Amino acid sequence: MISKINKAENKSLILAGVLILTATLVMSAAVLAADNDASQEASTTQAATVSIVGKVADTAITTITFPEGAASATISTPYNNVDTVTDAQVVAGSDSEPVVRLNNTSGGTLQAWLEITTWSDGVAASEDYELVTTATTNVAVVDDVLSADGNSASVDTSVTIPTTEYRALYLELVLSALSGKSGTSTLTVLGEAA
Amino acid sequence: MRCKNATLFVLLLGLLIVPAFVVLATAVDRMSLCNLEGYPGETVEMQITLEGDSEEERSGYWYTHYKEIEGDDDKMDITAWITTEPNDYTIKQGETKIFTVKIKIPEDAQPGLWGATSKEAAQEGHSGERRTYVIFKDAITGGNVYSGLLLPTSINVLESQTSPNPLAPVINFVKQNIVTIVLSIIIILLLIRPLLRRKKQVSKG
Repeated sequence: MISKINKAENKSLILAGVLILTATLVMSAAVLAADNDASQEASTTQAATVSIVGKVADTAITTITFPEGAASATISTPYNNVDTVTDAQVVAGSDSEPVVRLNNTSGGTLQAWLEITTWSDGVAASEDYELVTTATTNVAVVDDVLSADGNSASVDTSVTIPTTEYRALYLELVLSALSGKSGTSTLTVLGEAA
Repeated sequence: MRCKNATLFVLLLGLLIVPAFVVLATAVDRMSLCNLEGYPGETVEMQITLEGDSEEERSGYWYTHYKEIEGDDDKMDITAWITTEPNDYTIKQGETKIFTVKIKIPEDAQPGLWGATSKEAAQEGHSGERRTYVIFKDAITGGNVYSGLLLPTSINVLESQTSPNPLAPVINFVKQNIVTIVLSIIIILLLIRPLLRRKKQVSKG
């Protein structure tokens, strides 16, 4: 009787052992299968913000300053901190020069947007822009509206900048009728995948 | 004279050899957040990585924008659904920072595409179909000239009755591991059987 039970026990244990081996094999096969799974990777071209650089040098600019003017005057000679006041923007029928250049360092074409925050202290009545190729040097009029009232605004310029290329940005500010005021605003150049 | 010519030659040669210096600002690992999917009441999360490429430290922040077009329905502006964490940042050259964009779909949102007029909005030449954007922008710390990127964002709100079964992960696990599970059960039974028999035998004895 006892030997029968022992035989049955042995059978069960052998069967269990075989199954454990089978299970181990199945699991290791599964692990191997998992290891052999081909992973897919895709990458797109690098996307980076537009670099805002000086008129000639590829040096990043920090600030744009509009010089002082009479109340209600149009200020068309802003300058950046790299080129300084001695090399301000020139608006003219020939040999015009922008206030800054925009450089697309992304891998693809970008569509440029411009944004400004509200000019503080009510100093500005309006702000306009022109965004052209750097070869365009006959910018005599700056009249694309960036902000019609000096308040915050966001404008899709519809100007595209192909990868590695530059565009020239011209700005013009109409001062408000208030005299003895000074104010600040921030300018933002945004890029959108075209 | 010879010395001058040599200096000029060296300078010109230097200009040819020195590689063009490219000013980079901030790079991002994706250009759109379109065609995300979620159920009403759900919060969909996406991670975005920024990399500082500028020589100077830059400070910036995230915000949203709705490009309003006449005739748009109320599915186009989902700016109120979107938050980014963290919202403000500073980034140095070579540094990478990870941000989480969260889109909380309201409980009562109707099924369909929200934030863009078509599923092709992310593709090249389809900017006219984009309405809602997530934007990041930064400037050299202390500056007043910012630079940034608009990332078009859209989400496909799914029918709520087809919301996923909470037991679905368990069912999937069982389906995928059915052989292992059955074998494990048999092994356990076979190992337990002799023990039970021995116990019976001992109790009889």
